[in-house]
Amino acid sequence: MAVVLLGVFLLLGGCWDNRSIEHRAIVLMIGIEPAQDGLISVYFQVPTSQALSSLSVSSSPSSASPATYVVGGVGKTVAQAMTQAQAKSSGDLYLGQVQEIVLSSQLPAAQFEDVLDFLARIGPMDKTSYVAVSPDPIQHITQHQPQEGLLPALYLTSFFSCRHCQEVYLARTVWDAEQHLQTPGMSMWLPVLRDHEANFRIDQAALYRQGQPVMTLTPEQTVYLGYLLNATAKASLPFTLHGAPVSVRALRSRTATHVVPEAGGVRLVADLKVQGILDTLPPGEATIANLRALEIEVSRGIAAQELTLIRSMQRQGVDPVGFLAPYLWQHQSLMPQANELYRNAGVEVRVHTRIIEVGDVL
Amino acid sequence: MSGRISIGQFATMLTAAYVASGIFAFPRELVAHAGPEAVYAFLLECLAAFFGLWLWFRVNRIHPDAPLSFAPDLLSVWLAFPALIFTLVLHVALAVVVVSDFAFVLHSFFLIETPLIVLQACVVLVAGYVAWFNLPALARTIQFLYILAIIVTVMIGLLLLPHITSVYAVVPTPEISLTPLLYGAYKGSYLFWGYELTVTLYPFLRPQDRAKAEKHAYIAMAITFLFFALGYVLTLGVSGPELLVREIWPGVSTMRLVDIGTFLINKLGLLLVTFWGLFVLTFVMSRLWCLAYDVSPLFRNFSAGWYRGMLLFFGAIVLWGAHSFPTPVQLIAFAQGFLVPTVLIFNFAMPPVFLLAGALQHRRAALRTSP
Repeated sequence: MAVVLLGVFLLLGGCWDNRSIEHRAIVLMIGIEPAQDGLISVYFQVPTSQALSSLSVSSSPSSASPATYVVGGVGKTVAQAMTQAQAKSSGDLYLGQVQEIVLSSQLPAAQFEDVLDFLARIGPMDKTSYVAVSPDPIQHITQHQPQEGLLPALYLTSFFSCRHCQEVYLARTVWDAEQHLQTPGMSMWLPVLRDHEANFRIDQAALYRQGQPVMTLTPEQTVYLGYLLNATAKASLPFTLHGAPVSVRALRSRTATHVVPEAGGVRLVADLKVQGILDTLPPGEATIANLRALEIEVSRGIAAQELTLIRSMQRQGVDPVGFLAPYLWQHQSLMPQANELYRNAGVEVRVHTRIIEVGDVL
Repeated sequence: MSGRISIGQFATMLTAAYVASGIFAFPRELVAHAGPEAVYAFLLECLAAFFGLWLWFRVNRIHPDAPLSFAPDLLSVWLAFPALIFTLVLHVALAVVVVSDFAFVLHSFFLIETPLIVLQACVVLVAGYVAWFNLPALARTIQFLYILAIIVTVMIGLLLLPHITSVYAVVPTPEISLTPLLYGAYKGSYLFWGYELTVTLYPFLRPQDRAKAEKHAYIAMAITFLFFALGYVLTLGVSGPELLVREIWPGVSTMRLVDIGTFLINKLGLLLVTFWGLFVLTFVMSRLWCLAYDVSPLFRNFSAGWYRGMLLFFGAIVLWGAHSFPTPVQLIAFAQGFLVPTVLIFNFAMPPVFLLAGALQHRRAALRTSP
């Protein structure tokens, strides 16, 4: 029996799966875009051994030599493209450490769904890897070196992992994308990644309908979508009070949505509880009555913007908030007409704002 | 292979004999077939498990000191022998499914290049090694491993609470359709496969402990129900119903999301999945013990040597069976197509036969003794 146990320890040592670090090409970022003739291009961004060494001693990679290199392949499927890329790399392309996946906004719906299916079926692939979409050439994105000196994928990981660092928390993982793609009454959305001067710019959301981006929100619209998704962390919005400009910052919201059945359809209800900090107000104007008036003004302003946004999403047939998802789950017979139900639904937005801080001046 | 076990060991061993059968796939079939009524289907299958356990305890009381797997005095040889074969086939099939399933999990997520047979052999060998010794030693091992695995699972599972996005799917629906509810409960009934181990285990209790042991077994089943209820909320709430029904191992897929960036082992959820190997081991070791012991009435002098020989024999069969499934697709088809109805027949059709035979035997004995 001791022999049996010894055998078990030896067999489970993982020798079959062992690759020395020199033989591994640890992929940190994957970029995918459509190629000619219905093919698909895949780029794998791999850190150089020097960059990896510098990470292990907690210093930034040297600016003299590139921190990463990119190997790419083209094929009918992602797997075929990966096989071609593998032929160009001396190391084993290892996907167990992928931090970021950037998809082209030009990917056709069928290719997009193939990509997500491929990602879902790779066992070691981490489902918490971040996903973004970009209208820029993907090869260029994967070769971009951020000014902050971090490896590009690590820069993006740092960007997306901080919930309260950005105006809107736009992080989406492979898991989120899979879940939204499968859920009836829920449209997928992804952050838009743009190559911007020396850094990336990420302040917009792309809304998908069945694997195809049909609407890219402006940064302002993205803030309002963020309120509906409880993802806006610290927006600053301008308002007017008695004709004078005022501003409220750190505006965040707790939003609950539900559906009310009505004759011939449903009504979508969004209930926003907003709070913010008074940013600018003319001196001497910080009275109870003025604060109350400002709260009403903020509520009105946000409600109007939300209503416009929801109506425009209805016209496009996209519902990133998932208003209808709970209702469809309970009323499965309505699934076939879900799109029609959403497009024709009435909308009600209720906003209740509270100013919770005024600073230390009146 | 001999010796008495305590009340706690009985309850733990009995519970450990069924937890592994469902932990990886639960609650896929429930949600896929019962839809919004899945929560009611879950409650129904739990009630059915309590009822099934109650039935087997009634059967155990007919001959509390002898295993009922082969009972010619109760059923006649013509019925008892097929009943024994049925029992053996069932236990082998259960062990095969659990070994094969866990090997697929290890192979898909951790040891991709390692041959499946190696992973399957490791599970069978370790389980066989623990079952090699007497029953109290086996019971003590199971008691330690099982309770440890439950506590760690609950602690790490709670870290998934912030990931819940589909609260609506967990909330019970006010509208109930009976057909999907019943079908979901039937298809998801694998959750409690294995409590029939009591047939073999019961005689090892001290006579004065048996009534209390039954109560403890019910309490342990109630705790398991709560454990799976938590699993239901977490997997369904995190995955959402549509994604969940596409996952082969919903529990594993969900647990993989537990990620503590600042902790030494950031992928704590994946570590937990390897811990679930303890559930698998306790399941297989109790199953192998049961198989080797169940055939004892067929031998005139069933020695420790015979027991170990049988252990090796059944271990080899389980390994061969587990290796005969090339992918999880065939395994799921086998479990759903063959094992679900078979276990249901075993648990709800066999006990009435035994109980009827016991009542007849009792009546005959009463007639003989009456003047």
